[in-house]
Amino acid sequence: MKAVVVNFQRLGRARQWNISTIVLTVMIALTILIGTLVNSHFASWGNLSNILEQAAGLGFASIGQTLTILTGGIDLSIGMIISASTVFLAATVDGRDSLVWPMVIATLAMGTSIGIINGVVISRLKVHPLIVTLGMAAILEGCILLFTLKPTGSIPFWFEEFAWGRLNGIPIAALSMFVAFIGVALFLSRTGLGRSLYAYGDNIEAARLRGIPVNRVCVFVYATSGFFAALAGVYFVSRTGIGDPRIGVPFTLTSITPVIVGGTLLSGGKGGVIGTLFGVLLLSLIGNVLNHMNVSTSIQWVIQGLIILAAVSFYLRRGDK
Amino acid sequence: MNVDVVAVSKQFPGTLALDSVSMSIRAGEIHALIGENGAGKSTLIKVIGGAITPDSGHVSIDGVHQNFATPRHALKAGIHIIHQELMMFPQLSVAENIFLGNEPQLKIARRKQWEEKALSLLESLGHPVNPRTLVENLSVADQQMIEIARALSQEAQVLILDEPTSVIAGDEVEMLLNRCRELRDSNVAILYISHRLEEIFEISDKITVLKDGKHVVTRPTRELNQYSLTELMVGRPVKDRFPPKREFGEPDRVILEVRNLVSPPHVLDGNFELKEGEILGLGGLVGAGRSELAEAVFGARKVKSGTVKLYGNEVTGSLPIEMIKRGVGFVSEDRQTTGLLKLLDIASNISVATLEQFCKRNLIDRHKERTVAREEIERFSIAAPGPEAPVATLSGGNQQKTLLSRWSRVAKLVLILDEPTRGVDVGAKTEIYRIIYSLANAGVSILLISSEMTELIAIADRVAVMREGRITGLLERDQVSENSILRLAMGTG
Repeated sequence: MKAVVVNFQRLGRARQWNISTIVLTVMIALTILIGTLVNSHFASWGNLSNILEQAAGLGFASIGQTLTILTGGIDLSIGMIISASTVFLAATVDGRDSLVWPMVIATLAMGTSIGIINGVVISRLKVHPLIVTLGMAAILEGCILLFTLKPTGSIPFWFEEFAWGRLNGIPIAALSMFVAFIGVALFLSRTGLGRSLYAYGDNIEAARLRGIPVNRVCVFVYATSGFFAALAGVYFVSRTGIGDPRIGVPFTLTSITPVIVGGTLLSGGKGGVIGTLFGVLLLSLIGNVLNHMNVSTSIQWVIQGLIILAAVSFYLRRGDK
Repeated sequence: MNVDVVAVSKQFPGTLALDSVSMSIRAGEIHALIGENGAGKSTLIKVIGGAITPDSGHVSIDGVHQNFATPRHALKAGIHIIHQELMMFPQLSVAENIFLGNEPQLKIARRKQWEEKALSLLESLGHPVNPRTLVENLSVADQQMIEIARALSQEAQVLILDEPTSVIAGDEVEMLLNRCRELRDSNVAILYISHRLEEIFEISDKITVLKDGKHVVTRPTRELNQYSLTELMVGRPVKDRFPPKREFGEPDRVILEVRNLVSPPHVLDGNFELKEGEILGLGGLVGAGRSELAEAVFGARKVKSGTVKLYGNEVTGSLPIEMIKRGVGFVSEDRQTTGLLKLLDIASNISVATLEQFCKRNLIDRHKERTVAREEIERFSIAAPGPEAPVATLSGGNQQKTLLSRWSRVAKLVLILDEPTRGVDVGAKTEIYRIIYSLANAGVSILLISSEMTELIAIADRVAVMREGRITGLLERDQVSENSILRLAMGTG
């Protein structure tokens, strides 16, 4: 056998654990350090577990977004699926115990169905995902606002456990988020279908020619994205107790940030949810530090923008086109 | 399994790629398909493989009418294709490139197993590559071997190989041909496409010739020889295919001098001198870095070290706009993405590189643009209704002539032509050769990049050859031959 240089970077195994995860780990440590300097209680379990608990919504939303970006697409309807899910769930349950579980399932099914519609239109009509999901977002927003202009509905008190509850001191929401991330990460790296998402994003024509059912892969990706957006919606209902037609709006864009910061290529084919998880953690920590420093939300937006620009130029410099 | 192609036609914008083509591939037979670039070979196999739906006609398998809707259906039926343009996933590993496909399942894919199988496959082909390497880090030859390994790993009933040997040499070719014979003997139907006629005669039982999208002839290999085959491909005696070699003395004035030019990763050592009015050919295999070298000279690619001198003045690292102002033109390889302004008309396409000549007080003079375009349509015999015809409606040959017109207006000193006859019909090729000659005779120095060996031999005055990013040799007029170019291109002596 030829002498082979084994290089961490070059190997397929390093796909989800790459240099960006190392950089992000350092950044996360730095943020915690700065946080501790700002407020000595920052690194306490109480504060950190709160941060994790609050990160779950963004976490769920950005899992789906990672998959769409990995295939070279994007899902701009995530925010509106979140809003629609919260309104749908809270309004239909309306405080009735017996309806909680059926309606949670119905909500997840609704999010998945919206994603399936996105995927079918994208793959059959060959319209760019940006346009399709933007159109879908507008349709959903219109429908939601036709139904209600202000927060509506309610849920039984016990359902707030999902977003607020603790299991041996660990937030249930954070636990669910970690389970979801690890599950999707294993799916991506260990199953044929998972790897075909990389193939799809890397070279869709080659994927088609070797018999990968590209249309089905596309539908699967957007369905998954819709599912996780709906899950984020369920989390927000549990967290706030109501259905809020505006709650998803910022997530259309913020669901993209951790994906980019996590090192997934916007052109597709490279990256993964592990990077995204690190991105979610970093952004949540930074947000919390800034809150401790009494920095206004507007300034926080500016800082988030700077982080995106810094991340992108860093990855570009390293030649990850 | 037997495959019958029945009266298949396919129209692409500007060209009729297949014109009622019929042919049969039989089990236990190696059938060679030959024809010039643009004859429709690749389109035909894409129709068989379900990647392209024909406008009319059909494909039948063992007598059953079958038009495959997608490549997946064809694969399920046992038809496997090695495509000419390497269809790889650059960011995935070798093992994944070999085994990913067909029905990806939720089942756990054992990485270890894939890697071991991939390695043993590649070893059996005499070409071991680390199965965990990402394909983007491999040479074109490695990639080709991976494609071959992939196709051989499947239980193919029908195996179609489109130019499998264009970037590999020596033992590996022998190994591949032997594997094809073994498969034939186990009753697989094989369709083999190659430009290398020796290979065709060595391996095939039957030969089908395509020309300009039409079926010319199908005959047993033993009834043909290289000479008669070439005539069938070209459709006329070979000697009329290229214009007669022009008279050309040895000029001494060097116009463009390139020394030790480095532009990683594709250009590692670029060296050549282009003399006044000469046509310098630049040969080499696909992926040798010829286009990238030309781009680096033209300023379209970052230069790390080395020099480019124009008329003795150093111009290394100039921008393309500066090279254009100095009289250097560049007709790029891919006219669809880097050449044409696809949505605009002929006049705008011609004027764009020399726009200041068409301006009055900084505004474009449309009248002048159209007048000039009318003259150019005449001069280059572009078949078009007029200067305002959208270039997208022209055939490949006429699009190429439009680009030649644009860049010849720029190229007072040097014109770089990257695969100028790719994807144009035979008639247009001859006209393009005449245009090249008339420009050279008028004193323009021409750098001609071509993968068609016969073209380099017939048209160029001298030929420089490139391999893996380096110029490996310069052949004077009397040294240029298919063999001498190949030897330098493959580094085999």
